[in-house]
Amino acid sequence: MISWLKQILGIPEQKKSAVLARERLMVIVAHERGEHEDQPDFLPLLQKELTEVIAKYVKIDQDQVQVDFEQKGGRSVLELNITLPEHQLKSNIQPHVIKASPAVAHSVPAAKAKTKTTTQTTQTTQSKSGSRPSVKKAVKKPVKKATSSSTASKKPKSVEKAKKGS
Amino acid sequence: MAKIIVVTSGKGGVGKTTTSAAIGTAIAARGFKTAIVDFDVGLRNLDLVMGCERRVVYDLVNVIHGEATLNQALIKDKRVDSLYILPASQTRDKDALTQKGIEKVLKDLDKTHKFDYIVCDSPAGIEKGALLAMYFADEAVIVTNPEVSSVRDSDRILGILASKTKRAEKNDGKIKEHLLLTRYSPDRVAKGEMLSVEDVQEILAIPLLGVIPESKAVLKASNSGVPVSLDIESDAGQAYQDAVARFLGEDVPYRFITEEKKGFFKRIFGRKS
Repeated sequence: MISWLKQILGIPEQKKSAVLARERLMVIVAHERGEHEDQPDFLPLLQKELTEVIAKYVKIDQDQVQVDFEQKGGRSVLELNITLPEHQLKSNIQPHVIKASPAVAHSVPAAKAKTKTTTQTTQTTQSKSGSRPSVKKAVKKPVKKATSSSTASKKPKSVEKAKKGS
Repeated sequence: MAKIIVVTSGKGGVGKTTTSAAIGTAIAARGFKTAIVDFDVGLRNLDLVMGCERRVVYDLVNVIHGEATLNQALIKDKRVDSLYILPASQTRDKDALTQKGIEKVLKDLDKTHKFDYIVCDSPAGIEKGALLAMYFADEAVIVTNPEVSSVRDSDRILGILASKTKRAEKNDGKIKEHLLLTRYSPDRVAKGEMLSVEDVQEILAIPLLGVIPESKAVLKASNSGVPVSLDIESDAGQAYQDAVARFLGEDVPYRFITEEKKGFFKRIFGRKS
């Protein structure tokens, strides 16, 4: 009865709880599968070193560099995700970059144009077969969303990873 | 050669023991010599669910320690001819089960006693008992409730099945996985209050063995110590029989997954808001 009233008055109905459950599960399950599967153990170290290298040129936090490892069928995908905040691009990056190398300076204007730039590099490597089937496409979607839009929610993981490596 | 089936879930209270009893009994009722082995050392309950708690003399741990023979420990079911139960011990000793001991018991059940099917009722969790219950399995029945914590734990268990079992370690082919969804309420699914079969299947991505509806028959069966699959009048009993038919390769349509049609009067007057 109340839901009819809400509909008539144009009050948006709350999401059905089963839909919420499904969405939350898809995110957490895809996330945990990545963790528990035989991920190469160099990931935390790679993340730490990458962060150090990038920190030479841009002031970034550890959690702004994300290294993710995914398996799709017989292939493994290494995903590198770096978020550069706008104000730092304007104020800090230029002098550093000029000092470092002209090649890097070349890429700066492009990065400057956008407010928030995300550089994404993917690299494929062979993996051993017989591992668990990769998460379905639909399952992956919410995860990607999480990596690109909400760095905040991923913070603890990244920090933990970096700690493991050190 | 005996086929070893582990009934597992990760999460407790989802219906592993009920399922082990129901599936084991239904397989045996089809003429296969079947043993149901309780791996829940310290918290045995299969005997109660099967209604043979007063006939337990020796148990799995006694057999492993050589204090009893398998023949002495196996309890023959009084309802189904080719069905046997091997109870767990009530000891609190965590190291009562050993991998070697379990291997020998399973081998004996297979080679000496010529069992066709061995159903391993796993304890909850991912500790030693649960790992040993799944270690030698050929097939796994993942019992899952349409509920977030159960689905998450099932996914975790699938990961462990794929890495910490004999087949995984010896690279001897994959354990065949089956999803069994229990305590399912089609009407709540229709209202959007419960994860649907499709939702759970999409997340776990393993073949569906069966859907057991939430049913009064399950509690009634365990109250009286009769495996629910023997209550063929009940929805849950029929659903378990269907699941076993599918397990044995039959093509059976799924029942009890859509809301039952309500009569005219029920629709008008029986509507809950």
